[in-house]
Amino acid sequence: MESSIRVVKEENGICTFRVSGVLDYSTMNPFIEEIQSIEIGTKKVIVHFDELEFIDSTGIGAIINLVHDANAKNFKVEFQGINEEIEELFDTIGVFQIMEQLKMEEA
Amino acid sequence: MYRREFSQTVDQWSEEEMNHTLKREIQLARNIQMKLLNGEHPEVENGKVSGVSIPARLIGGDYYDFHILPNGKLRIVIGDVMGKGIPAAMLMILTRGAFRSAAESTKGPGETLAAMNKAMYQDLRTLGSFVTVFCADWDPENRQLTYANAGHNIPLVVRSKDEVAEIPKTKGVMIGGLPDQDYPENFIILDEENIVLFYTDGIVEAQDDEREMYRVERLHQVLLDNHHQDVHAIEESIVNSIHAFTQGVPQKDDITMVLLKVNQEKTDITSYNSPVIHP
Repeated sequence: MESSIRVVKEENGICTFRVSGVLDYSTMNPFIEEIQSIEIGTKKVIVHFDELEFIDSTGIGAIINLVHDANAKNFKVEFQGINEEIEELFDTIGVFQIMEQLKMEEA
Repeated sequence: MYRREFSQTVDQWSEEEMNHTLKREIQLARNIQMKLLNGEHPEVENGKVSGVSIPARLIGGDYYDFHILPNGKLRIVIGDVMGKGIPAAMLMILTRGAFRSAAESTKGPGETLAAMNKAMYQDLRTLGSFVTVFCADWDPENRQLTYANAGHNIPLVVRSKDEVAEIPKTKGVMIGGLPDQDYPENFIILDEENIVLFYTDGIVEAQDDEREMYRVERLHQVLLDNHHQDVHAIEESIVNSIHAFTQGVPQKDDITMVLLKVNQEKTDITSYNSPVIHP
């Protein structure tokens, strides 16, 4: 299963990521590169998970690094379209707790 | 100066020399990991514990361990490092050191996880990595399993031939997620012949050639079908079931499990032997 990342950067400082397919060890690099290229002045990053079929620990690691980057660079992160399975996974691992403790938005 | 000279030497290696050296060093790293994972673990009187770890690649990032406490309890830990292969294996060794150090000086599984997070947080954040860890103290005197969780999947308990379920949840952030974390504890009382399975997600996410996952429902069924067996037979049944399902398809993730089974009489920790590590 392939993965694809579509990124839309709007002029109002909102950056939208749409991830689809599988976000795992073998497909992560484009996603990591997009996260690293988030520009200074970005106000919010919205990640759409509607088309995401599977995410492994490497993918979750990238999401957590995005959350920490957002905290360091003072932009918000919002998740949309998380299915029940991925929501449970994020909850178990502690993604939402990290967002809560860093006082960020969540889905 | 030394570093520069060394770099030039490596750069001058032929591809054949490089491949040969890498293969040899990976094999040596595998031997180190297998020997460290293959450390002592207790044999339990009137009960049994077992552990197995099957790396998806030559070496892996899963970890399990046992530590006998001075009060006679047994501390059990299972962990899963983010990522695969050599990078994950390096962090698995770091996790092992943190657990062994913390287990000596902490009163319960919650404190153990907090100490591990304190020891590892900065390194893991620097590396952009994390480890999920589940830690439990087994008290054979009153058959109480006290546990805390740092982002790991919840173990299963088999109460009878018809009943398997997750143990009651307790939540905590993965090791390396946030600094200065507390890990709340929960506990269950196990009855005679109850079984607890601690495992990593490589089991339920094992895939066949059509990318269908093994899933927890199949694991439930194997546990129910084999609840009357001893821990080693149950472990073998689970491994065989996964192999039968995957049909030799190379797996992406390591497979690790620890089993605890209470037998009909009171459990005492009496001696040591070595866990089985399948290559």
